[in-house]
Amino acid sequence: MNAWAVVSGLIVGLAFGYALQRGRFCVNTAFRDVVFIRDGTLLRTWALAVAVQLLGLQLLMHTGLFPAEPDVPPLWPAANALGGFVFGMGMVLAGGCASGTCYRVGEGMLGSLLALLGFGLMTVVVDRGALLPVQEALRWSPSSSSGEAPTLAALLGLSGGSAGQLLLALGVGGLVLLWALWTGLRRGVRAPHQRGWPWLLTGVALGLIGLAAWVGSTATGRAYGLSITGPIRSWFLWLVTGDAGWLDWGSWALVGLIAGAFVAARLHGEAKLRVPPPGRTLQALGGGLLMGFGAQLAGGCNIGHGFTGLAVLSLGSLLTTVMIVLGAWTASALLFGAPGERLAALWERLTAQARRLAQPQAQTQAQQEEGSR
Amino acid sequence: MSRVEAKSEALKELQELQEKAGKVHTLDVRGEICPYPLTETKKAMARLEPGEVLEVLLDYPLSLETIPRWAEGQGHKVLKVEERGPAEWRIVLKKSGG
Repeated sequence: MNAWAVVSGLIVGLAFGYALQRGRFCVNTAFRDVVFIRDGTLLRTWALAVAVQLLGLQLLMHTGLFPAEPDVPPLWPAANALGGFVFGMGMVLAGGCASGTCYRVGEGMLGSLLALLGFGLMTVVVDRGALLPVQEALRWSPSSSSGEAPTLAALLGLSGGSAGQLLLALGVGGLVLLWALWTGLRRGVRAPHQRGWPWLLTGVALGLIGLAAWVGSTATGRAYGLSITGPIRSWFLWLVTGDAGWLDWGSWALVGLIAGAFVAARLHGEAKLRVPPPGRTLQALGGGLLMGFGAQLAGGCNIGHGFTGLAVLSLGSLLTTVMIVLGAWTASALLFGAPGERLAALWERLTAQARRLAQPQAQTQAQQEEGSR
Repeated sequence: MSRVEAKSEALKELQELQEKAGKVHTLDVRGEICPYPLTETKKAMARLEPGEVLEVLLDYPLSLETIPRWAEGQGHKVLKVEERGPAEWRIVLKKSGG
């Protein structure tokens, strides 16, 4: 095992976990709040982090400071779409996205630990177990004539490393950055009752940590940034095969993440073992299993695709991210929104109807029994 | 009994009296994570009369930010956000109007 991978992975992971916990950064909450309570604070934090990382990475690449060609996640339209959607629904049930669930494990939330274990188990089941046929059937790529990696730039006919590609990336990153700052600064940086980090600090810190991950990880031969799905899978594969070859930079960053979140929570009196109500533990496990299934199928979660993959404008990551949002909205609407309430009311009416239909029958039956006696 | 203790006893009694009179409602969402602390708070606030007070007991740090932010956006008053013990907090909200 490369000692540099362990050390730099742990350090970047620690910073990542610390920032996630202090910023209460959760993409699940971000996507939900903007629709259900019309609060865009966490969505802005996410957008800011994505923009800082995107702009930073593109500038590093074009000035030649970045050591290698970054990996671009493959485009698998069916697997990205279905996987992203299922992952989005799963994170609503589990009460946190991949990064949110991991930092809450560090805070001592045992429901999140159960979700994380379900997540990890399912990545292995889909990647090399009973559900491998699903992955094999859905992971097909559209044929590309140019041989370019599947990015937004390639889609628009701009080749990698060209000035046009840089302009596109700077344009997209700049717009997202401006939107986040413009809408955010009008509302103020700090909320009155805030204990954690303000959105501005969290967003910039996460963007810079994402950038540090690209540099640190690539130096160990893994030309990618932060991710969670692959690293969780690597620990499960190591556990069941005993082969340390599965572990890489990302595996150590994941350990650092959970440790960093624990340190942050502990220092601020927010660490404690906490147990959810009984039904909620099953819900968390079910959510974790769905998240693992979806993320493995799509080749990444809200971090591997929804953060890191966006920095290279990967089409697979863009598609997966959109589908995660749609999946999260669908599940939230069913569980907490007006459609869910209508469904519950309909269920109530149907069961009441069924009871009314069943009741006279039971009475006549009782009468018949009476008569025969 | 010291003066401070006597005072906190008196406060406690007052609070209990208020609770009995139905003025302070309590919502215990300890152990719950996203989004239940917020959705349960929303439901509980909807049941209150204007001017009534709800105390939310919670141990989930993220909702410690989102509940006050939501309440203020709705025009409710955030009377208190305080620590009740190790990694446990209490948010006191007063329903708008009244």
